[in-house]
Amino acid sequence: MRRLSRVDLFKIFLRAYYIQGSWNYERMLNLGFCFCLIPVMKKLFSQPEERISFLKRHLQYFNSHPYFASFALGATAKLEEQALIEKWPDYRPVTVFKERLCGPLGAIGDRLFWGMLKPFVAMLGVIFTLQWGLVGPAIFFIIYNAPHIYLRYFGIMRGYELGFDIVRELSKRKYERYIHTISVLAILIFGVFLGWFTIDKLYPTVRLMLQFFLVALATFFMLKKELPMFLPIMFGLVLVLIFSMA
Amino acid sequence: MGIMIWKLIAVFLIGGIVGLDTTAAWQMLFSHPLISCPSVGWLFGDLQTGLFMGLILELLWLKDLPVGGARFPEGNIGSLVTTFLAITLKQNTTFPEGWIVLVVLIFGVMVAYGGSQSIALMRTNNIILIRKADRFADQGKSRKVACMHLLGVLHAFIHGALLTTMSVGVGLVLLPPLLNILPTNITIPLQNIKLSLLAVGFGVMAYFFLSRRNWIYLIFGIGIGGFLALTI
Repeated sequence: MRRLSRVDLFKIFLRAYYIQGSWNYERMLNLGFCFCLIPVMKKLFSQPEERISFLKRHLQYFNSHPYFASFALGATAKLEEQALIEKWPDYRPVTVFKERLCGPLGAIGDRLFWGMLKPFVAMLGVIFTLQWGLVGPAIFFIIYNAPHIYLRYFGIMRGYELGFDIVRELSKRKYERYIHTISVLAILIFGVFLGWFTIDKLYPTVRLMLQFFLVALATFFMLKKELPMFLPIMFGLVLVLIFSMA
Repeated sequence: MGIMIWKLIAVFLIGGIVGLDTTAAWQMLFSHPLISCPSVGWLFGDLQTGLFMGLILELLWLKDLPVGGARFPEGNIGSLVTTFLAITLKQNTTFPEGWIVLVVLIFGVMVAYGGSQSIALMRTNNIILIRKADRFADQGKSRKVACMHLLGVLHAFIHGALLTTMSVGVGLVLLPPLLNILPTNITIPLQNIKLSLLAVGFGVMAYFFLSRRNWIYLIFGIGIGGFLALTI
């Protein structure tokens, strides 16, 4: 009986970097997901009918956060293998399982990576660039990509290991802990930087301090009101013009 | 104003790579201004301007998340165009640097918002690839299904590359005459622009992290930061 090897899982890992390549409004990540699992099809199925059925079931709707999709890829690979070994009468559980994973994978990934880690690391990068120039971009790149690449690899391996049970691994409460820790750390570092920056750079000139806090507060309140981003940017630039003319 | 052809080719390629990294492939964030702008600066002989642009633009576009089918401004491409135009205008014209930066920043914002429309178009066009992939799947042709996906990746590359190159072209044609009619005798200090846009960026950070639950950490942090600044 054919089984997936670590090399096959590694092939999925490499392909997963392109999972969003054909993102579309109809079935979102479907083609990307199918593309990532083609090594599984080649390994497990040799009959044309089996291959047709495999391709069709993985071209159905799928959506997720791109990094967290790794969990779904690993678990689906496992289920495909399991279904073949245990001779399941049909593959409907695989399709349903994939559909059910879309929500949690998207919600956790978007909040953890796009909503927390990315802004946090970007803020660190900007602070380091202000202080030490080119060190900032390097810090930004390394600190962000270490957990990113690890998660992509871990997701596939863990998904393959657990199969259906991956659902337990993706508990929202577990990730809420990380999100809370990052947000506290971020606001603390933000505060330290703000305190230091105000005393060291702004305090000598009242006008600069006024300009900085006026723009920062206006941005904060505009974004809270869900106004588009170009408004605070334009407000900041108009203030530059006014202060320069004055 | 002359611009060498190799520079345009480089802009085309970098724009394509940035377009890919933004959503279609990798997402390792080298499309972000903090990395792409200094890289462009280094490549075109003005690392300082590149780093300056990366610093002030990095935090601006984080608010609009690339989630699901959301339309978000193409901030990465806008920043790339801004940096390239700033460097080129600085090297080839005699306009004051502050005015150049101010004008290209506004132009970059317009490019970012224009780009969001073209993303929607690209994602709609990708449906054609899905239909073709369905047909190939019916015939069991996995290689051709994979090709359809890779065409989507190529599509994203070309989208980023064309958007960048065309925006740079429009900017090079429109901005010098515009700078000519502006009151460039008034000095705009770069320090002022940096401060204002950093303030916008930190406003965005406050939007992300500040909540009723954790404002106490902000006060605590400000205290530590102020103390460190006074004592070190």
